[in-house]
Order: sequence, then structure tokens, then C-alpha cells
Amino acid sequence: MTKTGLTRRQALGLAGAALTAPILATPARAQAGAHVVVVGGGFGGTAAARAMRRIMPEVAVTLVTDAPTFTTCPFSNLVIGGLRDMSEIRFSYDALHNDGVTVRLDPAVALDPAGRTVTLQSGDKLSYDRAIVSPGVDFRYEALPGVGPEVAERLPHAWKAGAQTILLRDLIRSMPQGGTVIIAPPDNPFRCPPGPYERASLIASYLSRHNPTAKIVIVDGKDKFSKQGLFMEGWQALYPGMIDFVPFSEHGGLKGIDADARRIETFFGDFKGDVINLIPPQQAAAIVLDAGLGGSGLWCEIDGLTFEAREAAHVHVIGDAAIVGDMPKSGFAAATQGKACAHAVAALLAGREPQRGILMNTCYSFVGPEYGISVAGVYRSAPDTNRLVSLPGAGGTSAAGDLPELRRDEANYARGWYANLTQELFGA
Amino acid sequence: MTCPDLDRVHHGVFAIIASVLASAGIAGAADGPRSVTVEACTTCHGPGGISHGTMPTIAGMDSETLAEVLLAFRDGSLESTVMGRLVGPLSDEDIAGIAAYFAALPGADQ
Ligand SMILES: Cc1cc2nc3c(=O)[nH]c(=O)nc-3n(C[C@H](O)[C@H](O)[C@H](O)COP(=O)(O)OP(=O)(O)OC[C@H]3O[C@@H](n4cnc5c(N)ncnc54)[C@H](O)[C@@H]3O)c2cc1C
Repeated sequence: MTKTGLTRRQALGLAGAALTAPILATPARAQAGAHVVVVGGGFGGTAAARAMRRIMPEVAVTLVTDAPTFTTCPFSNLVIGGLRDMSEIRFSYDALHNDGVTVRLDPAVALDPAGRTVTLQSGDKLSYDRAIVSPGVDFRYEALPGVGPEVAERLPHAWKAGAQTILLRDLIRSMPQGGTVIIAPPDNPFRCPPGPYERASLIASYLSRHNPTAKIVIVDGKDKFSKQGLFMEGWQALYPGMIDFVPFSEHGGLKGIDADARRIETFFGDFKGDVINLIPPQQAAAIVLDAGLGGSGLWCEIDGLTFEAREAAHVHVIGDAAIVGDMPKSGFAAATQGKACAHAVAALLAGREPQRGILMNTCYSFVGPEYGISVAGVYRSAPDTNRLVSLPGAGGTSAAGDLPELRRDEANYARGWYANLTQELFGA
Repeated sequence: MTCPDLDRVHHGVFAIIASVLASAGIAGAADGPRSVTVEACTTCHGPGGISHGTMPTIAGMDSETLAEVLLAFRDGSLESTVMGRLVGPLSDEDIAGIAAYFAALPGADQ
């Protein structure tokens, strides 16, 4: 500084101009008439489609999805707890139309990586230069003893938001005084690792107001869960004695499910509930596995720099359907990946090297309406393997202990996160 | 974080930012990765850095102030709920680049 004789402000101003120029003023040129097809209008897909139009406006983008509106799983636990209305977590694709994205409400039934086409239910076939696929998860009812998908009408999963969310909420509302809610989460990996425990918390919040002698029993497919210490601390503070966590090692796994009797049989005993929230094990959505993108597994392996499927060129898979290195299956992660993937696809279409940027995730959970906790992570693809690895010196959970101000702030930030991300995905 | 307490930012930080921003300017041509990195910020701070919720709007913020705040989160001199857990791996150049990027975007009232 002293050498150049610039004041601090002058130096900053100059640096700002020099830095900004390359970011803002070099829109990459795509090959003429390039077409990107995005499959799935959820967190990853809408983020990718909008970012694609913003980064490379000359590229035609088609978003293929299966319903006229999207209901977010994030904040659906608040609906179940009676703290938000369904209309507040449902969004239309109008803003994507206005961005110039062609939205097709016509589910993809086949993806052909060799022919570079996506076939829709109507029979229409879309050709693509690059496909970005973010269809989320499917449930593996075949991995549960003696039940099929129809069991969800009586023992709702509410793990895809919509009618299932309302069903679970209403079953809890009409439960007898002193009744028991059983939540049965699967083993890892599954969509939203802290989700079942946020759900237990917000059901407890509802019950403590309307059914204070009721109980919640979590019959878990694993022994440990995300943010466990913080959740348990919060349960003790807000709902002492209401939530009972039964780890896998204490029940030994599910042996039978009696939907009529609302009973779960395990190897070490039975659990009888008035309401059962049965969350099945999961796998990548059918469109991904049917196209062979899962290899011999249940999820799609990808390259962490470009998100291109290991099993197929020109197909990029993001969000819950993929194994994205150390990143969790969250809406935040899917949206961040969608944007990073759009940058990579733009670079590839323009014949440039994709850039190795930093990705982030923060999963907020509500333990109570004004009691928030979080877990964060920061990721970059490793230069040798392109695996998206968690970077040291970052991430981790909120501090433990009796910190009411921090909990209140994090509940406020959770609401801020939701407002801003849904604005980015669906807002004008 | 909604209103960073700049008095608590260590004084030495000012010198660092100036040199960071100056040197990052020279290296500015190589800042491609940052176009990916800034996308992580808007997931919480709102599209284009304009917030519709609790988090502060960062678009149109003075680059110097933004860089100071990020550096203070990184060295722990400014307390936060989440930011301190996110900025650790950011290099001085990343911070300068992010600050310059959002400073150049139109703010909420523009
Ligand atoms: C109860 C609960 C709470 C959660 N809370 C949070 C939270 O607080 N924060 C957070 O970050 N994450 C949270 N999550 C996780 C988050 O919902 C997912 O990680 C996120 O939705 C993943 O995004 P995605 O794009 O992979 O899939 P989705 O968002 O599910 O989008 C996929 C879309 O593609 C559609 N689709 C599927 N197949 C096809 C096809 N063949 N053709 C056309 N369309 C298709 C689907 O119907 C869906 O609309 C929560 C999840 C649950 C269940």
C-alpha cells in the first residue's frame, strides 16, 4: 500500500473494479441453439433452470416436472405442528416462465443417455445437449416387512410434502388425549437427516399445547442421528418426558407392521401407536435408476466438479438422487448444487474448463417455534478425484448449552433462509 | 449479524483488507471459481444478494465493510450464529472477491 501511495479506499475501489469485471462482464457463449433439459421442478431443478438462464441467456432451457405447483418439504414439519398453513409452502412455476424457461407439466418416463433424449409421458421426445436431473427420491417399501406403498394411506410417510403432510397433521389433531405418535425413520442415507427429529419436536410443540399427556416414540433405523445432542437438550428443555428415542440396537429392526392395529413389531418387542409416521428407506427416483445411472447401487455417483453422472456423459445429476461427496441430502445442498451445476454446464457448452468453486450447506431445524439449531458444512471438489469433500476449519453444529438468545436467533434465521431460498427458486 | 458491531472488529483487519483487495485485484483475471462461490451466499442472503428475510441484504454493500465483516467472522472477532462456521476455508482473495462482487450489484433501494 505505502509503495503505491494509494489510500485504502482508493485501493479498494480499484481492486473492486478489477475483480468485478471478469465475473460480470464475460458471459460465455454457448454453441448455437444449445438445449438444456432439466428434469424435476424441486430444489435442485428450479435452481439449475433459473441459474442456467441467468448465466447463459442464449441457451434454451426446458424444465420437465410432474405437477403444476411444488410443495416444499422444508417447513412442512411446521405445517404438521400447526404453525404454518399449506398455502405458505406451495409455489407455482410462473417466475420460471417469466425467466424464459419452458416448463413442461409432463413427467419424464425415460432418459436415454446414448441418444441424448428425454421421453415424456405424453410421448413427446426432447433432445438435449446437456440434461440436469434432480428428481429426488423414491420410497423402498419392498425393504419393509409385509407392506407396500398403499400403507401410506394409513401410516403416512409425509416425506414428500403435499396430501401426505395434511394426512399426518390431521391424524395427530384427531388423536385421543394421552395417545402415542410413533415416528419410524430409516437408516442412512435418506432425505434430510435431521428431518425426523425436527418433526418429533414440532409434533411435541403441538401436543404440549393441545394434548399434553400424549407421547412420541421414535423407533429408529439407526443408533445415532444428526444434531442429536442439540435435539435432546431442546426436548429436555421444552418437552420434558414427552419424546422417547429408541435406537436400532434396542429394538433390533422391524419384523412386521400391522397397519390395522397400528402396531410395529421389532425383534425385541412391539410398539403400539395411535398414529404411526412410517418413513421408508429411500433410493434415487426411478428416472435415474431406470436409465442405469445408479450402476449397481441405489444412488447416482457423480463427478463433484461437473455433476456429470459417472455412468453417462452429458447427464448431470444433483440433489437427493445423487451421492454428492460429503454433502447431505438437503434442499439447501440441492439448490447450491443446482447453481454450481449450471455454471459447470455453461462452461462445458462454451468449451471452457468448469471452475472449482466453494459450495455450502446449512440445515436449520426447529426444536420449537422460537428455538432453532443448525448444522453447516463447506465443500470443494478435490483436485485429484473431483470428490466434493468437506473442508476443514468449517462447519459443525450450533453451540450446545443453555443459550436462549442463540436459539431464538437461529429460529429467525431459519425463517429468513426459507424466505430467501424460496424467493430465489420461485420468486419474481 | 443483522447489524455487525464494527467497533469489535480488530483494528489490524483494516490493513489486511486493503492489501487483500489490492492483491486480489491483480489476480482478478483468475477469479472464475468465485462465480460459483458467490452462489452459496445467495441461498441465505437472497437472490442477487437482496434479502427477503432476516439475513441482511449484501448487494450494494460497501466492499470494504463487507470484507471487514467476513474477515472478522473468519478470525472470530465478530460473533455469529452460522457465518463463523462457513467462512473458515475462504482465502483472503475469496473474501475480497465476494466483497467486490456483491458491492457491484444493485442494492435493495436501487
Ligand atoms: C420433512 C422434511 C423436512 C425437510 N427440511 C429441510 C430443511 O429444513 N432444509 C433443507 O435444506 N432441506 C430439508 N429437507 C430436504 C429437502 O426437501 C430435499 O433435500 C430436497 O427437496 C432435495 O431436492 P431435489 O431437487 O433433489 O428433490 P425435490 O425437491 O424433491 O424435487 C424433485 C422434483 O422432481 C419431481 N420428479 C421426480 N421424478 C420426476 C420425473 N420422472 N419427471 C418429472 N418430474 C419428476 C418430483 O415430483 C419433485 O417435484 C426436508 C425434507 C423433509 C422430508
